[in-house]
Amino acid sequence: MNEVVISLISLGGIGLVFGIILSVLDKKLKVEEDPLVKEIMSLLPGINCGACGFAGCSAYAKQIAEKKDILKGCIPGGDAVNSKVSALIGVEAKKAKSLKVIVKCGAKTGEKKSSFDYSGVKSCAAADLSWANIDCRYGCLGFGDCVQVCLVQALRIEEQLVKVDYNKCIGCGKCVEVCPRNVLELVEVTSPDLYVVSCSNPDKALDTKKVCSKGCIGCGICVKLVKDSPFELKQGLSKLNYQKAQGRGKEELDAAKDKCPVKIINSFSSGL
Amino acid sequence: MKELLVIFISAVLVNNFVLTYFLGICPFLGVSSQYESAIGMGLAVTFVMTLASSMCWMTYHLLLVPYGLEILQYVVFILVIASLVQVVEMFIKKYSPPLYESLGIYLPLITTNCAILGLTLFMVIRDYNFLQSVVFGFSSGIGFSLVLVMMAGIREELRFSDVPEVFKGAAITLITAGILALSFMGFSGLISS
Repeated sequence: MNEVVISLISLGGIGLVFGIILSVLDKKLKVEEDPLVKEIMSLLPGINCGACGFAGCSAYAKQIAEKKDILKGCIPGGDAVNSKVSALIGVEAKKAKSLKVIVKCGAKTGEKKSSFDYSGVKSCAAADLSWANIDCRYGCLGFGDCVQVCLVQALRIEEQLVKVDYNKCIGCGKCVEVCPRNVLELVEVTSPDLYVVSCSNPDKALDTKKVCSKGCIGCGICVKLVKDSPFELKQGLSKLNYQKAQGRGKEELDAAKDKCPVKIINSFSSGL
Repeated sequence: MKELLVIFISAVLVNNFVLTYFLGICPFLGVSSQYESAIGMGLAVTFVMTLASSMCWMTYHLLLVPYGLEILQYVVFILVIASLVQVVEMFIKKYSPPLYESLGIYLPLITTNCAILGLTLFMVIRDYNFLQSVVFGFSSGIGFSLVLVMMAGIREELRFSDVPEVFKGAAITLITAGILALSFMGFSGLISS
């Protein structure tokens, strides 16, 4: 009987002591959490893509609450989310840029030449360190490092070439970071049609032709076709200046697309 | 001094908690897929183990033994460990929010880590004094972290290796853990007693 009483008292005593210590510490070490942060969090998409420049949605929400500004804006959320968040913190809604990723390579298996079999690790980062599986030093390797990091499954590999589903792409730029060859690039999209120069090989025509049948030969037809062309020729590579291309007629860009002798200017529906 | 060194080597290599006693397997398999989180978890467990061994030694020898309540050791130890983890969590949340966020759910999960309860019970069975208990707790934590980090390193490499279809996922992880345990048996001759 005595043992039972002692056990009960001591166990209860220990529990009580720890309980008191914990409740005192809980009051003393309380972390003030801003209710505004929680409200902003509930509006954000919560996929932690990092396109806003912060580590995740919670870090971004904290910054919004602190600085009372939506900063770069939520890119995947688009105007719908940004206007709601702006209304919540009481500032005027800013228009966030709509970014999409473009693929600056358009050569499929067979079009990009391959002098030897590659049997190393099946990742672009590893292949790029060695002589790689294709002869072109600038093109898409097609192992899909970018596909693995995509948060919204907007990318896929078809015939050794990465393809973008523009309805799904949120423009977070995760794929751009992992591509070892800078084939991918984020561009600002303003119209329903997205024109892309599908090559990033700046070599001279002869060298480009040796490694790929779908490479830019730097002929400059796209540049000469219209006055003040949005296309620019840098080294042996045509580049579309997306700021200049804003507001340009569809015909002008389509003309360049049709006249390109190697057919490397492609148009996609941008999903806007 | 020599005794403490023996305790240290024995807890880290010879009688490693994970690979010899098979305690704390849950976090060992759950947190070992990434190197960074493995290090964080290892540090948190080491910290809690060191504190738990000293706290439990004090409660056992200053409270339970004088009143003849050794039979309550299991309940009391769980109580002490749970409260300790709560306090640690509060402190980290207050003074180091980045560490709190990177540890995430693993911090409260240490409460139910059987390696820590095992540690306190071993401490009682082996009749360690206070200093020995603290060293035992700390070195057990180091042993746990060592194995966790090793496993994380191996699993990161495994991602790039050509594993046969049937062994993918949990199977290859358990096989790896088994081979690791086998190799740690090589240390068993290090301490004779």
